[in-house]
Amino acid sequence: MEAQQKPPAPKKKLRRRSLYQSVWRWHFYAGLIIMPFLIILAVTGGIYLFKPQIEAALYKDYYEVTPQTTVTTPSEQIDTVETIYPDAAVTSYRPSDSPDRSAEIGIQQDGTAFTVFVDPYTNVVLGKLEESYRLVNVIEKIHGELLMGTVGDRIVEWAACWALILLITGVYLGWPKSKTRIRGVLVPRLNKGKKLLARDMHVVPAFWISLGLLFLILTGLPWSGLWGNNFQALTTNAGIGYPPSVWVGDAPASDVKTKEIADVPWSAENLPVPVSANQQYAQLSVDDVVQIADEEGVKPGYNIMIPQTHDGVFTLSAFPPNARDEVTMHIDQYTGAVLADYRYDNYQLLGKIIAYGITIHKGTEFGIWNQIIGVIVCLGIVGIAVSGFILWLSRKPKGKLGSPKAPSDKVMKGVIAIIIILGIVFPLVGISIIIVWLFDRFVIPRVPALKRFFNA
Amino acid sequence: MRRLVITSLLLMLFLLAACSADPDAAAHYSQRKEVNVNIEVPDSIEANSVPRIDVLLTSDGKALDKEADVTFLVWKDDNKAEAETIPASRKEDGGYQLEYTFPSEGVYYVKADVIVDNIHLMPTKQLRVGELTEEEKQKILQEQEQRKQKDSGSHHHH
Repeated sequence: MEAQQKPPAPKKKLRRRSLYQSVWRWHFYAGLIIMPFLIILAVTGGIYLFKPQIEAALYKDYYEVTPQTTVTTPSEQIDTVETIYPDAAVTSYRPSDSPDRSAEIGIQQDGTAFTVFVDPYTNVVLGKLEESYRLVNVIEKIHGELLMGTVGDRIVEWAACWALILLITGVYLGWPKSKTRIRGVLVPRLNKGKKLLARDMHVVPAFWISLGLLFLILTGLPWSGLWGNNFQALTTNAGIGYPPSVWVGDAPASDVKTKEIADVPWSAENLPVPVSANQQYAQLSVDDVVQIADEEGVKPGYNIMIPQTHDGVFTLSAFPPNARDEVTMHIDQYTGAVLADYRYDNYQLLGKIIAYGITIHKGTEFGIWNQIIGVIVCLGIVGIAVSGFILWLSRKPKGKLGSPKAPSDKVMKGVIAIIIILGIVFPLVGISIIIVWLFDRFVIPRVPALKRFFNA
Repeated sequence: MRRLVITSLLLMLFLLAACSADPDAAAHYSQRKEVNVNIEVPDSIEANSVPRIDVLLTSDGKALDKEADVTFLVWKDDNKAEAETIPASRKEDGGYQLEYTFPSEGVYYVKADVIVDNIHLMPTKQLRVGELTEEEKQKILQEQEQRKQKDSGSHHHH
């Protein structure tokens, strides 16, 4: 719109101006569509950062125990839980990781997962929580899948990828036009009128936050459902990422001596007495698994998943605040053999980078400063989204969207090429780009009202 | 332009097709030395007899040539707390033998505690000594039926 009022510029300048317009258009499309999702992700993420503090405060009565001289064994604690909840199946055991902390026993009751907290000294059940209703789990579910399962997961992934496009196009748009003009990028111009202030309130924070946002997007994507899983599978298979079963891939199986399995229903708990066969291997007790963990040098703070099938394994896993302390260990349920032992040191380069990315993303790697910087970035993201919206409102002519006039096809190709590459690397972006492109190309030109509205 | 769009569409479809982890991917990462353990027990055991019970250790399908530290624990029914500890005697063929007289009929547990290098194995085998009475069998079958129902009630989500 501004271009029309100016005298004809040299061709080169005109082309640059057109490119600028087309990037502006895409920045605007992307921004308007994903703004609500970015705000949701930033708010839930900002809260989730404080998971340790929130849970410690909420579940104080379940977490804290008074140290005493005698301790009961894990299997005694599991027996207690089985007695109190006779219709539940025990699925996991998490030993106490400090003298004043309770042990946690995971159970399945009518298809619902609960955690039961047990005082290891007195063997008394302190309480039971339904996993899916724990506050931070709900927040995590919103952050990861908007409480909509797979569909939500794809939407989040798609929004994160589009945020990447926003970031790239935003950097192009906000780049200082000359080296001396850092005001308006690094610092806002407060006394140059309302219009410039509205612009600077978007561009300046965006510049400062953009690195943090880029980091959060890149570290968050590896755990998305579609792109993340494919990426993890590719790196794991190529031997450059996480070992199998840490993220993707199956755990090894327990050695089932089939000829010795009696024709009885398999149960994770005590063996039924053999009626038809006279001998069979029994499952290791959780006490043995804890002993193995200790002998293998795994520090408490891990969770033991109890096998639920004939050939399942005990999986011992720890994802503590620091990436370098991570453990995933699979133990044969009949012999106690360590079938696989994957520590941080056993991750390949990309796996190590992703692991650090995740702990920093979650705000646990560098303690309180990690949380503070994380929450600043989250607040910044909300601010950018809101100020971007205000900026658009302040510039928007009545009855129009206010996007710059569409440039010629030729200039657009350059921008399209960059966006297509992103669309190929991130298929969900690619699909939505095609939809937007089809709309931009075939629908808008045919409907006069839309054409006016989009200024095409 | 059209060709570019079609090519990228095809590429995207290719990338959208879910990759899955290769079952052999573990070979790219650190692997543990595997020692297999078997507790060999005769098909039937009579009370007051000393059946031949051996622990065999193998690695890569061959008998393990390293000497292991093997101890047995034997207990009846749920009396694990009163388990007897019996050191194994090493046989010339490389196996480790348990010499134990089962004093009465019933259900026993034999646990072999095996330490070789830094590997610690602890398989437990449940043995039936003699015959169970018809009453005992019925009681067991009933318990199994209950367990089955409980399993189908609590595991159906898997």
